[in-house]
Amino acid sequence: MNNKKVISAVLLVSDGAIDHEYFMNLLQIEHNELIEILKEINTDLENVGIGFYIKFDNSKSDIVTKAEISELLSDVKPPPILKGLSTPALETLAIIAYEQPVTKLKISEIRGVESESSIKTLESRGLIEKGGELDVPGNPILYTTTDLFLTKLDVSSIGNLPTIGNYFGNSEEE
Amino acid sequence: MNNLEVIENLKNLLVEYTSNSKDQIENNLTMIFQSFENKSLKEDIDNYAEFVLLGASLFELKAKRLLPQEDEVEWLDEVELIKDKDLAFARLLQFKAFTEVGIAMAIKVKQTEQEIPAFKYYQTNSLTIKPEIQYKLELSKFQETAVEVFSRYKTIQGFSHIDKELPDLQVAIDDLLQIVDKRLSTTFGELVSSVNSSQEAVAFFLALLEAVRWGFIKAEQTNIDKEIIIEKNYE
Repeated sequence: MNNKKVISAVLLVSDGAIDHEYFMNLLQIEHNELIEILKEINTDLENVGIGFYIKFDNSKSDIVTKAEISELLSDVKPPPILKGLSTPALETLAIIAYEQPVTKLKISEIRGVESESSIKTLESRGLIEKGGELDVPGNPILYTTTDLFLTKLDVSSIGNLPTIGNYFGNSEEE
Repeated sequence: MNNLEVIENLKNLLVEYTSNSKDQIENNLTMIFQSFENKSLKEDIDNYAEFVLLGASLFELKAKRLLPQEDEVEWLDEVELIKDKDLAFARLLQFKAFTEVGIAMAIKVKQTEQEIPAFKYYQTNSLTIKPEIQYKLELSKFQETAVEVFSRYKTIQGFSHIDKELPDLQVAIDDLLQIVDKRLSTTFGELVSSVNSSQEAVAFFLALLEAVRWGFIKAEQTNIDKEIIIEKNYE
């Protein structure tokens, strides 16, 4: 019971998702035990009809509102991160996500057009960042996606991104 | 004749020309149009345009091979001939794929954003594992240090400039450009001859660097002991 109180309170006041390892060290509990507690808290919240729950995967957890009431939260929720982004910017984001670490030149080569402004826009939104330099003359900057991008896409790591073929599974393949 | 009819007619034409073929090109062509036929044309005209493009490329290749040729042309040479076209086509597909992926990712992000994380007005340090060695600073000691620093900093050498009003860099840039506009050519020594403090001289120097960077002026110093010559940039 005490563990439930601590976990829910920490998630309430923390800024962002919490690593499970933190809870395991704090409360001296095993990972499967922690998962059970998180499930129990969610059941409790569900039983009293609360509008949020604990979203968790194998490595971290956070309190989030329920999707079914999102329409009614439009006045208080933060603006969408992709708001106003053009299709070229989305293309650029997709290229960086799947080709990272990637140079501006490679992005422009794939798109067939200059991608400077799209890269700047994505960088200013915190979706991509400079992740080093390529070891060739001129040392072009390599771009990678950020943790925020992963959070927004609801995947735990770049390795867990769906394969590109998955996006076309329903339309092109017989 | 609408687009669907055009594509249907083209499809029939190509199938007719290739249905009895045996070699690799024709097999490919037949395969493409078999999958072509399995589609409903009403679904998405763009997708079929790609099929037709690919089919047309193969048909062109076949047509070339049917033409009488003086010298025997190797299959590999033929492939070489359409390499650029293949490359362009591959890039088109790659580009289209990333466009689709970008849109799919945007849809996924939109779905994820329907669940809003709890928002805090302050930022706690991320609750990751603490390092084993921590530097401990007691609250009382911290307060003492803070009081000492805030009471003494003005008297400490090197901090005396803190309360001074610093010159505005933008104003310095404007002044510099105005002077260069008037005189067309000047030196850094002349520029700083009328300033009242070293801070103003520094501001002029920073302004000089900015103005050179933006290409408004040219600056040259042939030797470390010589004057910096400043001229308006007419390029």
